[in-house]
Amino acid sequence: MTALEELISLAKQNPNPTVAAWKNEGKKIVGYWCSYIPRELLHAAGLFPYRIKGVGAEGTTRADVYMAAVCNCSYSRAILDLALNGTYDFLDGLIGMNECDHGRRAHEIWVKKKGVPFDHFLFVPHKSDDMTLREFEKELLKLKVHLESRFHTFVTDENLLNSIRIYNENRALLKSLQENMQENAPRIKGSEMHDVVVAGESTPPEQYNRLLRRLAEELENRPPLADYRARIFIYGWTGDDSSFYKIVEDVGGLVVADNCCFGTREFWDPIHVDGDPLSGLAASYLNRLPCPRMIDGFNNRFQNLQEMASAFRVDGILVTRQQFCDLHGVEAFFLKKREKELGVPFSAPLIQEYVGQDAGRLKTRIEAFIEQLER
Amino acid sequence: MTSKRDIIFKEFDFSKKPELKTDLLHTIQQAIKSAVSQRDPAMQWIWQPSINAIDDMCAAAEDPTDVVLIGFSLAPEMIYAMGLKPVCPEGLSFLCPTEYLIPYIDESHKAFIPDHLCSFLSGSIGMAISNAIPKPVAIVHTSQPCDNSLAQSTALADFYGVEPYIIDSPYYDNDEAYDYFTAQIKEGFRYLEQMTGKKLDIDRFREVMERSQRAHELVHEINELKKKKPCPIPTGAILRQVSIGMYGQTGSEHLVRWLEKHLEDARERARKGIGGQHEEKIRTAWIYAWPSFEWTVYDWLGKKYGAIPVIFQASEYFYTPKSSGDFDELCRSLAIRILSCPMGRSSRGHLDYFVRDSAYWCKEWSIDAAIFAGHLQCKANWSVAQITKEVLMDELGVPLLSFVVDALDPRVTSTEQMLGYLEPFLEMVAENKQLEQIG
Repeated sequence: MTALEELISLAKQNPNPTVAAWKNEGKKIVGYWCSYIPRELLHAAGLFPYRIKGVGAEGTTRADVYMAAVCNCSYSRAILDLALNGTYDFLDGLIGMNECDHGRRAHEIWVKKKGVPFDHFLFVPHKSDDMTLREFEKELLKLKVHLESRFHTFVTDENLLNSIRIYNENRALLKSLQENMQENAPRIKGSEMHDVVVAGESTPPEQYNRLLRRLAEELENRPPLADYRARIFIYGWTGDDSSFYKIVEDVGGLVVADNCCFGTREFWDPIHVDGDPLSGLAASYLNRLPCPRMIDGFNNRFQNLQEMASAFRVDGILVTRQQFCDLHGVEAFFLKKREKELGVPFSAPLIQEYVGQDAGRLKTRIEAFIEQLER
Repeated sequence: MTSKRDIIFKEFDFSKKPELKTDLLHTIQQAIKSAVSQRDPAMQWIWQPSINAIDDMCAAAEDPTDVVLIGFSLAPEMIYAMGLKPVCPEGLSFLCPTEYLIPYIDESHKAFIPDHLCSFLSGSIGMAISNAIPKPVAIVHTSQPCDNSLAQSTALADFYGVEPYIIDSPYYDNDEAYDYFTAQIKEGFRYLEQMTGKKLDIDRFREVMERSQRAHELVHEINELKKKKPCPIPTGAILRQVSIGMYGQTGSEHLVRWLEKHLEDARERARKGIGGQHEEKIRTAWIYAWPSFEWTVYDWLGKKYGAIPVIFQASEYFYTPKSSGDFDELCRSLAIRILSCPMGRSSRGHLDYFVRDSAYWCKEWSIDAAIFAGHLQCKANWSVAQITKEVLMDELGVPLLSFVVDALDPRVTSTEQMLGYLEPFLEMVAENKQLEQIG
């Protein structure tokens, strides 16, 4: 199996085979909801940080008893459904946070109705300044102490710095892969890149780094992708499913970059430590390329969008969001006001459902958008 | 439209393209005063908070140099303390007659505001982009109660090009959380001074907080009296007026005066052992939203079933601190006051707040039936409805009806459709009550 095939396979299974391997060694796995939860801290505690995903969900029937299909996002409901049907029973703990109303409530319902062996809720501030940074440091300290107490471990500065180094290597390798797509004829597709990122969220990082290094070598022998109609940037997808990217590719687009949850936002900025590693972790997470949950983040995202659109020679931006996502939803309002300044055409928002995706409708609209770009 | 019931509901015709009113505030003011003037003169005082709210906003619009846009779950005390004028855009969405509000909701969607954003908020954004509300000199919001509110605050700030100050609400309720919020309130005052050129007057802050404290104490006394049977309130509509006052006017003298009158009326009714205009047979708790596009429906339910609203989430306040007058303690009191406002408390934190508060009200106020009128775009609270239903039935034997509605927009669930949910439910409750009495 090539490294890419192995990574895509890891992305498409939930749980994936690394879980069984880890458990067989008698080690613990802790699930986490959102990329604002520092995996490094869990890893430094000797745990396998496993990002909760909706992969494998066949519906949301169980979750819909507790969450409303009329207004709660199908991604959170899919995850909750998996939890309620026992898919996540392998977890030794779960870290929730206030990423959004849907995820937060899904976490609370999961803990209440199904139960987890260990549960911690991490409050992450919605803005980034000195005061909120101090607050976030306190929150991370509480998490650290709770993990140490529950799992009879001790997170030293040394092992935290080591974990940061390992995950920074993840980020650097991913960034290098992404930068390959700045080429006229890149050697990896956007959908493949998305799957690669998803795989990394629930694979032990040391193993993941080995796979990424192999992938980088293998890419040199892959045929370049030169036959495409437009270079596309995807803005706003929050799910772990790459089918949207594939729809773009099916109609001749090439996804070269994105600003998505399981995308560049995950790995674009490394963790910087200048002194205390926990403080460095807090500062880096709070100040990284922000998600729309961060009140004060749009200007950063917009600047990043402009820079990436230029560096990746983007022809058009597909603005999308998960149905019922208010935080991503209002991004289109901001972009519309800055249309001229952006200088790159962008689509009207394309609404997606994680479960029950209407691929035909999306394909029609994406194709129409690409045709417009070609004129 | 005359339904098969002997009651006439409002008729809405959205097939015509209604106009956006640029003199919206005065349009709302006239509509409210006209509606109130048609009521029994002896009861008109009940709607004074609505009149005060719109009068204040109209006065603010006349001289917008001191206007501060605030979120509805940010206490106006902060703005009053600075001698500034608070304008709450989502409060306008609520006060606005339905036929004038709908075009603003639709206008916001044209500007790429998602249609699943709460209509209170999308309506207010529509008003802003149509220049129907005054451009503020500052914007102060909180991140509570939900993502909708966060999205709206950033959208308004971006539209106006005004740097906002958004206070990040904590998840928990403990001293650390209060410290976090208090520190931001202090920073918020610095922001307001910087944006407006005005200085905080500590004496005025103290007076405002004393009036706010008094308002909370009055509400507490009124709510305690509501435990009596029959519930000593003139009409369920007064619960909504309490919420309008307590969300948007705490710290003002006129709210204190109104609450004193409300308390006096409630005491008199309690002393005489009387309730409102309909005989009380079923005590109801509206544990979340209260659709406001057609108020006659609540009178109809009172008349037909004796279904009297005793509890309405937005009028049920918990708050205790007494401020000492020291700046730090005043800010801390204000922090706790803001965090304990009903929707902030129940939506920003763990779902248990919503569940346990609902159970507390149903138990202590002897509720026969609970109603969750689920505002369509409310993600945080819709995901608590089922658990609340289970708890109320398991612990108290109180049935809960939940249905989808947009509290402001009858296009989602019309009045007729609402009754289609409510009537069978209340019939079931009435039947069970008779069976209990027989048994």
